[in-house]
Amino acid sequence: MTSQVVCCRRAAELLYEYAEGSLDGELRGLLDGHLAKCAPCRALANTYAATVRMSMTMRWSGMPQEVSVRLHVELERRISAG
Amino acid sequence: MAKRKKTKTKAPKRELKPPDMELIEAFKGGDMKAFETLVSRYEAKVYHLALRLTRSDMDAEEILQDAFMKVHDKVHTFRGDSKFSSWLYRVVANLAYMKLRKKKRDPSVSLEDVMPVLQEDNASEPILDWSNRPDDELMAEETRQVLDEAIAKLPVKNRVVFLLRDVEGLTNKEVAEILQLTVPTVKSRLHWSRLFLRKELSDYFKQMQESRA
Repeated sequence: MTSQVVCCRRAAELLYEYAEGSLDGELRGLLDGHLAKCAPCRALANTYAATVRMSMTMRWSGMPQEVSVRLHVELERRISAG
Repeated sequence: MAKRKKTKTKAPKRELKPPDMELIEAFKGGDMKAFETLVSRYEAKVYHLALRLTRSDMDAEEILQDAFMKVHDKVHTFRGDSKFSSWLYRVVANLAYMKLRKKKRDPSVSLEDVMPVLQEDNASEPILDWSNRPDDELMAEETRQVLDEAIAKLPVKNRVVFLLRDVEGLTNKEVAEILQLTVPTVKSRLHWSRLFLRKELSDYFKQMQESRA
């Protein structure tokens, strides 16, 4: 029975594949049905997806200029020292 | 309806960057300028990965220097079977592991530690849904700091997977190749990390909500 296939625990087990969009159509449909009815699982899925979205904004850019300068000086020193 | 007149838009001029492999081959042939270009291209990524793995400015800087020296000394062994960036990230991860080996060991982790309690009978406890908060709150400097601190608390073996996959945007296959893990292991460490970070963010938003009440 489908209601037994996707209970809260099963929904949690499927969370990773659900967020990755890699669940097959039937299972995804069952999970969507469960999430529509179950507020805690919906909150878990929503906050899991939000965490992934927020993590993507933590991408690094730039670095302290002095670290870069020291890197190039040190590489030159070590390379010329052989 | 009148047809909209097509107007030619000029694409912005982009400077063509030589692919990594081209630079590697040039460097193998003795072109030091090619090596310098590779260093400039990857130094920030290497530094930030090392910094987030070790949480130490000094260790990160040492790893940065050692990693590029390794590239310099071992470039002849790089055959291009994988991407240059994968090879470089593997070097960085290994250098970071070596530094961290001397420090405290990772705690053991289980899914129960990070997963909310869910019942089989669909009668789970309420879970705070903070995902619909306005973007300026989700992306606020304070929230980013909470997330950054939470990332620092991840066990290092999970943290490196999370950083390469969710922050740097590599695929599971690339991360598995870099860290010499299986794809299922990458998925499992990533899932655990996301659940841990979700839990930390939930605690933060719960506190915020309580302080406003």
